[in-house]
Amino acid sequence: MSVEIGGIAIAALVVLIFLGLPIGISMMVVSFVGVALIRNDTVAMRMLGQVANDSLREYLFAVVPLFVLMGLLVTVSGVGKDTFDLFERLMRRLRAGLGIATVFANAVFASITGISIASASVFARVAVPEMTRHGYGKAFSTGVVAGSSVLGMLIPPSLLMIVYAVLAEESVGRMFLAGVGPGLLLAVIFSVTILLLGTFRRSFVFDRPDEETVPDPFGALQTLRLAVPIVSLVLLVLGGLYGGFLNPTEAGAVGALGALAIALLRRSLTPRVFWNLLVETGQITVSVLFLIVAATFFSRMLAMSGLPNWLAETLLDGSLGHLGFLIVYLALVIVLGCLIDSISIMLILLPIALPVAEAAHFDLIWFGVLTVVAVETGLLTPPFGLSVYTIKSALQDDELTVGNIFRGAFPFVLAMIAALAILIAVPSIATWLARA
Amino acid sequence: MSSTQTTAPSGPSAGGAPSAVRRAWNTLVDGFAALGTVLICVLMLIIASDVVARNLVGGSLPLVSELGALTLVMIVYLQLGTTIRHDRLARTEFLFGALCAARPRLGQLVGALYDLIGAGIVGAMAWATIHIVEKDLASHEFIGVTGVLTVPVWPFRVLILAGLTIAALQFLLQTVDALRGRGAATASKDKT
Repeated sequence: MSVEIGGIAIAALVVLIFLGLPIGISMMVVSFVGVALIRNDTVAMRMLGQVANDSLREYLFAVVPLFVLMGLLVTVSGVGKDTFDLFERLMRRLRAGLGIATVFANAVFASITGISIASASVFARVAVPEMTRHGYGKAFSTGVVAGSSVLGMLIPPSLLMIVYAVLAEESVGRMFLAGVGPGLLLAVIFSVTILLLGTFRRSFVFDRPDEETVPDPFGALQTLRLAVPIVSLVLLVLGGLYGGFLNPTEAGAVGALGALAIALLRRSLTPRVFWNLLVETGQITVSVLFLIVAATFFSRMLAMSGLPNWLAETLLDGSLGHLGFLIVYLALVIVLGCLIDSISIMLILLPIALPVAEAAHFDLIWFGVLTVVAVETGLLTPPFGLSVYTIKSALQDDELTVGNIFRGAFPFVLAMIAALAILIAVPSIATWLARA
Repeated sequence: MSSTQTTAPSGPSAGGAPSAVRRAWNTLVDGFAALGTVLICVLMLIIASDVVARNLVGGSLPLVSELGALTLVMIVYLQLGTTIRHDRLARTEFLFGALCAARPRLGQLVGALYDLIGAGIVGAMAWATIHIVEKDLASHEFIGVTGVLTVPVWPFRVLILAGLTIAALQFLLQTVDALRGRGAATASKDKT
């Protein structure tokens, strides 16, 4: 009986979300009613109170506002542009080198920001004008930026990895480590994609031949001046994390403070701008953490209904098999990615999928990396690819339609699916650093 | 990062200038949010000074992890009201947005229903928190180590309760506004 309630609750949740009720509210309502039906409303009320008060009371969650603040601070301080300038000069001799420069600049920028949207808005303003000036088509230029922005969530620090770690009860530090290999893999696959397109589909990449002169490499002093802020931030955050000096929360605090120092040194921060950044940080934090509160309630309700265990037994004993389950799950994530935002997908699906993955004896770190990559394709797929809309609104170019950007980003969706296949075949890309 | 409109009145209200009561209410919601915003900085400084203390002096500061955890919970609930007011809770737009575009009045009524549901569930969260506050007060719940440094939990809890109550009332207010035909259908407001 309770298993059915669990099933109906999931169906009801999907309907409510599609109707446009805020996702957190939908989860709370469905879970409340579910618990009230399985037990009674006194229990439901008590659980609601507990969840509201205690599910966020973890030192770890402080990592969310801190890394968000850090990401927003480096965004205003122009560190992204410097990174791009450096890579532009490094890659200038390569075919479609600007595209590849964008990918690697994003990969580096990703290691100091945890949100893909930050990368997308920075590089839309920095890389796209430069690429179009050099004859690249707009669809391709924006597609490259959209595609490489997903690295922001894969290369640590990453908001999605934090959310996954919380749900799967894995260590955030390990999840961060697990993102490094796949992030680099994806950057390489993206570069190969760009090289191939530049060779075989020139009309897709270029509108006209590149007549602009490529800037000369910077002198040593200039290179140093541009590289020092970002390198020191990366060292501070990732070095502290991997060296074991800092736990993730502390790395967030130190990183945010470091980013603040850089922004102040560059005079890119007025009190007004800083306050607005803090307000924005607060709103992102609330929308993420409120979802986590709701998801905690949802997963407790589901566990109470016994549905996840039942599902694990049925799915794995049946004809589906372990690999079959994995592929169906990832396909579901990618399809949902077309409709719902990344964090919500994870919060809805993981309480159901994690017990199954555990029963199948999957390495949960590896499973998490696969989930994050699959979820991130949703940033690039129509009709609701968030990265694409971010780029569109960052550029404010009437000639550029959303459809153009989706078309430009499509090769990168395929590249991500290829990356998923490689990660499924070679799990150690994700796990070697994390399990070392 | 378009959301710099913390001081903007709640929605482009068609019903003329907001009343004094409404202005006072908005100030309250914004004040709570501002407190939460300041706490983000405090959180950053507490944790960073803990790191410095540990690496320079060799000893952790007391209470940091418990205080950090409680501060975070407060940050979330203090800012919940303003997040609701600026329609920043994650939701899907494709059906609701299309409805609001095609039939604005109907969209507004559906939005009113959604806000009412939100008021109900957040109100229930607040209601359930009252008992937790009472329990904290009765049992003198504290964080820290007895004899070294202790901080009672109830002041934090009261602020959480206040934040939840304000959030529920904000939902309720938006329901009333939408029913009276004021305020835009929420889906058409800016989303970042």
